[in-house]
Amino acid sequence: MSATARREFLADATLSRAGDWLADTLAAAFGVRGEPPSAQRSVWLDSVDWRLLRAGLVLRQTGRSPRRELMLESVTGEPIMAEPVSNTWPSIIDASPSSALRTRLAATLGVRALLAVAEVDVRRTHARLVDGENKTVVYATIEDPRQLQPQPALLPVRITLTAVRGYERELKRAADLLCSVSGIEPAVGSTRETAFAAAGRPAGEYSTKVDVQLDASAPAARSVATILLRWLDIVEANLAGCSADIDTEYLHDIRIAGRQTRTLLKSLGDVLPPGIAERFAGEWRWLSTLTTPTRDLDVVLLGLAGRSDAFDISGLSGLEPLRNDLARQRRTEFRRLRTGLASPRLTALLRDWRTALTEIDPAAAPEVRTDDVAVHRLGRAHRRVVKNATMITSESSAEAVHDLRKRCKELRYLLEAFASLYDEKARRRVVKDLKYLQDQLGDVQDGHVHRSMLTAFVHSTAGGPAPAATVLAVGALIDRLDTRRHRAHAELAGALRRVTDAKIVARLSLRTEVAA
Amino acid sequence: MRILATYNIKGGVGKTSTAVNLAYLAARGGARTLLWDLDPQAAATYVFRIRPRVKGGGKRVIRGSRPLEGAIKGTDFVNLDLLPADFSYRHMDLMLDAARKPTRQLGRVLEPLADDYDVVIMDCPPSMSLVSENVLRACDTVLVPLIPTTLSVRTLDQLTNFVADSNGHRPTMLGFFSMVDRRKRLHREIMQTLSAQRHDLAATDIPALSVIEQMAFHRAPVPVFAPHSVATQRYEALAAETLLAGP
Repeated sequence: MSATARREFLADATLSRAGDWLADTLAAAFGVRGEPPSAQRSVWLDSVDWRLLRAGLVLRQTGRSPRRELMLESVTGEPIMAEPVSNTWPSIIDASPSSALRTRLAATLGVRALLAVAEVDVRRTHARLVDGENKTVVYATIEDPRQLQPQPALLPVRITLTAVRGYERELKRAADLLCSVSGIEPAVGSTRETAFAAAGRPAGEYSTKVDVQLDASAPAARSVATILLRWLDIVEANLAGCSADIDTEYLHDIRIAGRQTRTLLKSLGDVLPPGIAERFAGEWRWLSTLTTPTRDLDVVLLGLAGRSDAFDISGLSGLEPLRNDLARQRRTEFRRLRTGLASPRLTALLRDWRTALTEIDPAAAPEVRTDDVAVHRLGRAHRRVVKNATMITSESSAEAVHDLRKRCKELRYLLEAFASLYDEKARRRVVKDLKYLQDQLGDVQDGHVHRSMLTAFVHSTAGGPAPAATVLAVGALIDRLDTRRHRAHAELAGALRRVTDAKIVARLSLRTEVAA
Repeated sequence: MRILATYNIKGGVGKTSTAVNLAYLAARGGARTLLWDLDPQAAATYVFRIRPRVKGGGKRVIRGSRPLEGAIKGTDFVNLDLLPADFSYRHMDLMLDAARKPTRQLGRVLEPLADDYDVVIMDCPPSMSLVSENVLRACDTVLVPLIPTTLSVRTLDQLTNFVADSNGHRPTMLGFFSMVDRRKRLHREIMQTLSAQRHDLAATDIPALSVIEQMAFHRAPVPVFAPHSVATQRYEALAAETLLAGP
């Protein structure tokens, strides 16, 4: 059976929602056979960063407690699977009872929680348009959606006309009649997209990147302020989710934005008007210190839950006491973090920082172009990486590895900040090489940190001695960490070559082409 | 795609009623179903309230110069489409005769729809002609409605012999008693005797019921306007027996 022809329209607010005008309009050419309306509540769910939508999936909860159902569909509306649900939202899908749908969702969502993006009640009326033989020629569906969450709103009434096969001419006639009514427009987007937009969450719009287009010839102070404001936006956007502990990634994104801010202040603070970097550097350091313990515990707990690759837990049992102990520590640390996030100190930091960046006067800053600064600072950051890298050997201390890792991050963050000035392909290549090196360094350095944490647990007597099975499992974990650390050390040389290669310098010197 | 036909040389034996109801039940069971009304009287087309006219002309469609797909009309029922009859079908023998392989033309024009439908049911006009030869070559099963009289039963023999004598594709021939009046002794005796003797008769029979005649009044298949009637139950049993129900 071939695809059926279909036309969709939206009625603006000037038209009555009762829909009598619709029957009157269509009655000029058709018999209209209406059916009693039905109502359906839909809650669309996705992670804050739209992981499902980006994977071409739409998740919708229908019905009301206790008979709610989760329906997974493709973006084009084809059903994939459905099952009853009892979760409240937000919720980490991994915490739900095991099922085919849960497995499918968890694979796409990873560590991110599902949130209710929009909750809408739709009153739906079906009608048949019939010809002189009382034969159905066109189906009409009138949807009257009312958004309940995140805020009440009346969404436009949507009219969908679908031709019965072979009656496309009648569809056109019905569509022409509708178009003759003032206030009826061809629909753009689906009810879902309209609801997302009304919820202030346009579908798919989310980024934790500095997606700003810089003007190469603009004063550097203005460009740097633009980049820093973007990072500030990201911190603020993630504060509520972090305080509500929806999932671990809100904190992670805050930390990345904070680290980017600190790096830019350190590397580019001198292009801002005097005093700004000095005034705020300490406060951003404070925020970093505030968030570190919870994040470190998050990383370990995710690893122990098999939801990150921090640990190889395959075949190990008896780790529950360790998980419980770390979860208890995490609860304590998170309380401290939440207090800090709600503190007047953070409120003042974010407010004053925004004011300072918004009010920057390039005339009061050093007179340098953005592209000049980008090339100079990226070159300097790369030289530092090379200098530190050449000192690394298989015997290097954790401190030396940590220093190199910081230099790499600095270079990578600068590359991300000035991304719009560089050829995308060349920049990605450099970032890929840097990321590979950072991963190796991370395995070496995080191995040290995680080892210390695990050792501290084994030696801790606070909760009484750990069961023998747990001590053995933790011992095995430490062994695996050591193996991984040694392997990463062994692979460092190759990774170092990739970022100390002269070609990287060439790739970072594309400014003239860009400027031209 | 499974192709069935309701066929008998005689008229007024329940071909169209069977085709319409079985097509409806197949679609209701989830099978994507196409009913092709080949009878210029257009009774099946009328039941579904569709104009008896083939878009682009019946001649072009039968000759294959216009795709069959463009002539298909949706009915008011999910999964059920109809290829309407056209008055020009009264000359279908001539149309088919003009084709390169006259006895295979209907099968050939159906081929492009193989992926679109699970079941095709052809409602044939009452005759023994090039049209019937085409139908017999195109379909997998021929359902032959038989009024339980001695003469009617001869029809099944004639058809079976005709198929047996033909070369190439041979459809399964399945007769079933139609318009049965159990008050008549002759009907009862013929049914009893033949059912015991022959293996090409369905176990289900369709009684002569006024509710079946009412299809033309209601312009709908029996299960739609009389879902709990005996007629509906019999058509459901016949559909199950002929493997129509279910996708």
